[in-house]
Amino acid sequence: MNKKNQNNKSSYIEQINNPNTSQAHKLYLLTHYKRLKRIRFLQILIIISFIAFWEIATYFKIIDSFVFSSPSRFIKTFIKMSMDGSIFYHTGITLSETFLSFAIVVVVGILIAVLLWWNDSIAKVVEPYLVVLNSLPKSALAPVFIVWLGNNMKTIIVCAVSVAIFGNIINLFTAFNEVEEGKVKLIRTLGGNKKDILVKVILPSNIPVIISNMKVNIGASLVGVIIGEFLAAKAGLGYLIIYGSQVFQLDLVIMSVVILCIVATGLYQLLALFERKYT
Amino acid sequence: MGERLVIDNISYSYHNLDGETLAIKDLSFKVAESEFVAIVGPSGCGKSTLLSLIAGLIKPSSGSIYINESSKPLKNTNTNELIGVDNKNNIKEKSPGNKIGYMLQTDQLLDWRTTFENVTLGLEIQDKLTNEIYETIEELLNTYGLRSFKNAKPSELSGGMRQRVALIRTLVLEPDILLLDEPFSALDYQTRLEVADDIWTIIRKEQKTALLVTHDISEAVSMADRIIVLTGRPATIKSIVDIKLTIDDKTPFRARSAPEFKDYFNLIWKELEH
Ligand SMILES: Nc1ncnc2c1ncn2[C@@H]1O[C@H](COP(=O)(O)OP(=O)(O)O)[C@@H](O)[C@H]1O
Ligand SMILES: [Mg+2]
Repeated sequence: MNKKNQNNKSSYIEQINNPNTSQAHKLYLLTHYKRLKRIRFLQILIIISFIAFWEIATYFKIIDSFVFSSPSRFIKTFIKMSMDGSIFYHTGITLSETFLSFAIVVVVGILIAVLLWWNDSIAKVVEPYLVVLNSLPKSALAPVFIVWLGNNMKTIIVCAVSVAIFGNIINLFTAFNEVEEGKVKLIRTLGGNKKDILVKVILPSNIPVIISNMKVNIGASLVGVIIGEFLAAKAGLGYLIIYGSQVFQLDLVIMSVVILCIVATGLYQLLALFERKYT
Repeated sequence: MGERLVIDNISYSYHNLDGETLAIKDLSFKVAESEFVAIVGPSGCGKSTLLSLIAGLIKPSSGSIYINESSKPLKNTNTNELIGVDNKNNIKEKSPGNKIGYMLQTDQLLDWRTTFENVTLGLEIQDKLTNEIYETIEELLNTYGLRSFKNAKPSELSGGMRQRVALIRTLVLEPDILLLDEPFSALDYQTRLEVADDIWTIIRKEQKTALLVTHDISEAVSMADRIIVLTGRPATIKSIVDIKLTIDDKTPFRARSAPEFKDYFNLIWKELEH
């Protein structure tokens, strides 16, 4: 969607500057872009009013800033934690756990999907297990992982991987099998074996699917990491949220949630950028 | 001139859970070197199955297929082995791409590869990419009007160009026999006539033995030296018609105005009717 918008924008400027563009068409374009601007304006207005209302309501004690925190309070907390660097430490921990889980999910997901594609019997056998594991709420497993793996980063990574990997495998495997039969026949007519089908057709034709899955996986990995940090961590944004709520420091909780929003958006945009570049 | 291809009493059945489908029954014929043979028959009679058998993608349930006489028969020796693909030892020995070039119904160009990379696909698979071959490819692309589209993606090519790329992809593997499975059926009528002319000329120029499956009688009469008419499923031979057109400087397009064209057309038409 983003790609489309960008193309639209450059093509818009091009069309407006083009002397051959008719007046009627220019008018159409202008109306269109006015509407887009209005939408953006409303979006920004909503967030600003929300923050302003929150700040004013706590300032005039309409709502209790001890329970609900307030923009000025969590920003103050942020500044304080930036000074001693601790917020960067915690964000860094969460980010590195997320990237590590994401890498495992992507690589292992592709490997297993390839294995299932390669061997139809294995695929048939494990299919019901995959479906069950995929629909199981992974937060239910997190306590089990702690018991098995201990109160450490291993648990967090396993937890995050378990959130994302089953869906990833199922999606990739389905996409691998949807490759046009004619393309597979082509490779065979050219004398290729199964490995050639995989390398020349299945993988390259599924690069867009793999990348769009990565967008989902990075989000799912972050969710898994936070679940893991809630239960088994001494650092990270999930840890800050749980710790803050236990000691009733809502400023800390809200600030961590806001940073989490930014991190989640940033990661998604990073992958979207990657997608635009490679598809 | 020797026989390029001998089909000796082959039968083939498909097996699936709904039952068994006998697609080809006791079929025999021969194709001589540099001969252009067309195969016509009702749809679903087993024409594509026949080409897959010749290409070695599937093995006959009984009977043998000989290519270049000296070759070993492509016989079904191992019933467990359904298709050659899974059997790596088998592939090297009689890789279908070696002797047989197979042009599928649709061009099946890979979207993410350029014209050039599509042409080299078979060579990559067979590990035959050499500097000389690069030159051959350049020449072929120039000869068949694709020079400026060498680095274009398939989506930028017209239907006729795509079909020519598919043909060159097959030809660079230097097959002894070319199998063409309704290669023009995805094209509109105008393009179809043009591409048929192009491809026929290319095949003649390269002196390839060709087996063309089509359901278009005019196409068969205009292109082939001989037409094999098949019965409905299971495919057996209904009749074989030699085509001799009195026309100078034959191309499929000009062949259509030969005086005998109409008679042949009617003959084949009748054969297919009953
Ligand atoms: N994989 C398959 N399994 C079962 N039956 C098949 C299969 N492929 C083709 N057939 C059947 O075999 C017959 C011949 O098919 P095909 O060779 O594709 O016909 P044609 O190319 O002459 O139209 C058809 O009736 C078709 O239904
Ligand atoms: Mg067919």
